Amino acid sequence: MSLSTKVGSFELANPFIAASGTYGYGTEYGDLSPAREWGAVILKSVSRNPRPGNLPPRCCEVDSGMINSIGLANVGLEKYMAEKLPAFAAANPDAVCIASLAGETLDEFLCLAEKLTEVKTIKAFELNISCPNVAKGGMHFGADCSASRQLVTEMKKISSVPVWVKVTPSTTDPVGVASVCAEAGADAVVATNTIPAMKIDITRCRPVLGNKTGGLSGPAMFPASLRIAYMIHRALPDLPLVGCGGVDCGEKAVQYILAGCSAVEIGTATFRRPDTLAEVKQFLSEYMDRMGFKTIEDFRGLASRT
Amino acid sequence: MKIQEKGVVVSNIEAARNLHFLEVRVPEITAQIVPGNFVSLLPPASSGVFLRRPFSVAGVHDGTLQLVIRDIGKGTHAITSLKKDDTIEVLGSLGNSYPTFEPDKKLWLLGGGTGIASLLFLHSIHNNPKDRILWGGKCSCELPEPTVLPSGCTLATDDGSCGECGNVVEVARRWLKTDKPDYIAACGPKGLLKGVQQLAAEYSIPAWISCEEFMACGMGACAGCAVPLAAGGYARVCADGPIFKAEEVLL
Repeated sequence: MSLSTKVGSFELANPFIAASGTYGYGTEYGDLSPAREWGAVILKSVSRNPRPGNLPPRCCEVDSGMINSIGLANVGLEKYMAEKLPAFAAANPDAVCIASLAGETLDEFLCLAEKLTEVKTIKAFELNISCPNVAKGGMHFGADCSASRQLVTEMKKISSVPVWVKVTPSTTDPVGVASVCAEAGADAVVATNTIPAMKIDITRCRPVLGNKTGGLSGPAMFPASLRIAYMIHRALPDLPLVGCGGVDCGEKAVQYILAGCSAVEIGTATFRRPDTLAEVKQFLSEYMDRMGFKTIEDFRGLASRT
Repeated sequence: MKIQEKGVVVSNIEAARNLHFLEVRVPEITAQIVPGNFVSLLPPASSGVFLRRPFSVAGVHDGTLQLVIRDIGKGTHAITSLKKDDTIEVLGSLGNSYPTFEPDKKLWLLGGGTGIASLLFLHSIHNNPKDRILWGGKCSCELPEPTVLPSGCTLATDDGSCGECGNVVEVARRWLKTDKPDYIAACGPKGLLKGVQQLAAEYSIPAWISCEEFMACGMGACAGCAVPLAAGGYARVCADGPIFKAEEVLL
């Protein structure tokens, strides 16, 4: 039995990927959740210039999850390349690293890709066109089919590594967006990102978050995100697909694979239990053993064929 | 080093209304803890809460962590309901620490509510008889009996129902008429910390404050617990703090 998988031509030792924004710059968890144990890790989204992030409070807890409005706080491209990537590589020589790119404009995305495509540490790009917490770029980009098409087309021209596109669940037509990305040459689609959400403090009579609204993550959003992954795979069975949203146990990860995903991102669950990865890997092995599956391909997408 | 360890509850005493002194045996984590550090506890699954809860450490003794926890919601209720020999998942040590203060220097430790925790620990380590520790609450029902407190500890209440009358900053201001510390360390509600910032600036006393903010990861990965900096931008309370020089942060 093998846990190895392929997202298009991109090979991973196991199907589990640390989701961007939940795994910092890849060194914060240390031995609690080592990068080398993941199929790949996606570092915090990087923008051309440093971003301070949104006004605190930036996160709050809700039933079965949390809402965040970090606002793509990051060190900016220069420090990312000079400090964060070398530190990651030094601490995790055997790990597979994916860079998440966050641009407000097409130009900014291209600038990021031009600089990062030659960096050996980075094995793929994930385009974050689905963050709900920024005024420009983010989800506004991802809900616009023609902007997504142009972005992916231009990115493919200059990227020497696979280009994945993380799509928003906040569109009436996620399949349409995925379809456009596929036509433009995306190497994979990641379904999905957080869902816009909010919480109100009934004593202070105002929204809890400084940004007023944020993105819902954690188990609460699993069923909604799973459905989108399922719909995308049904419509576009040849498009490499990565599931993301609400996975906190092996059983949910298996559901994404059965829906058609070749890999599964895990994020918020790691906040609660840094050893989530070990649990999901063990569950997957036991599940495959019990079901008689030798490889991920043996059962990937089975639920989408019924 | 950050370790995930299964802790065993050694004791759980309700020292005042809804205020618990909890002792948890976690030898590996305890071996690394210094004053200012915090740990995060995973509330039992039956509580229905999703995220861990961070708590500053109030002391260590023989492989056991001492924590001061107020029962204010579902997560803290589940934790303060734990009984002797129950188990709980602990992650630590997290965060930075207070600086090492010279033994002959006089410290004032100003705490409000459960903010007293890290100051009790610092007090036990610094151990200078000239140090003063002030623990404030709204009224006597929020604070423990003076008999369980370490020597050098004074209580203060807003309504004067026990100890000194007035909030912590007001009492410290009165003390400053006849006495002055070399350093201040403080932890508590934002109002207290703001007051300490002012006192420290006014009397030119170097001060450190322990900040609090809602946390998701507790390890510097998510940037959720941001606190604005005087120099611009933000710091992460969990990884760059929780201890900051008083003038560094904007409260």
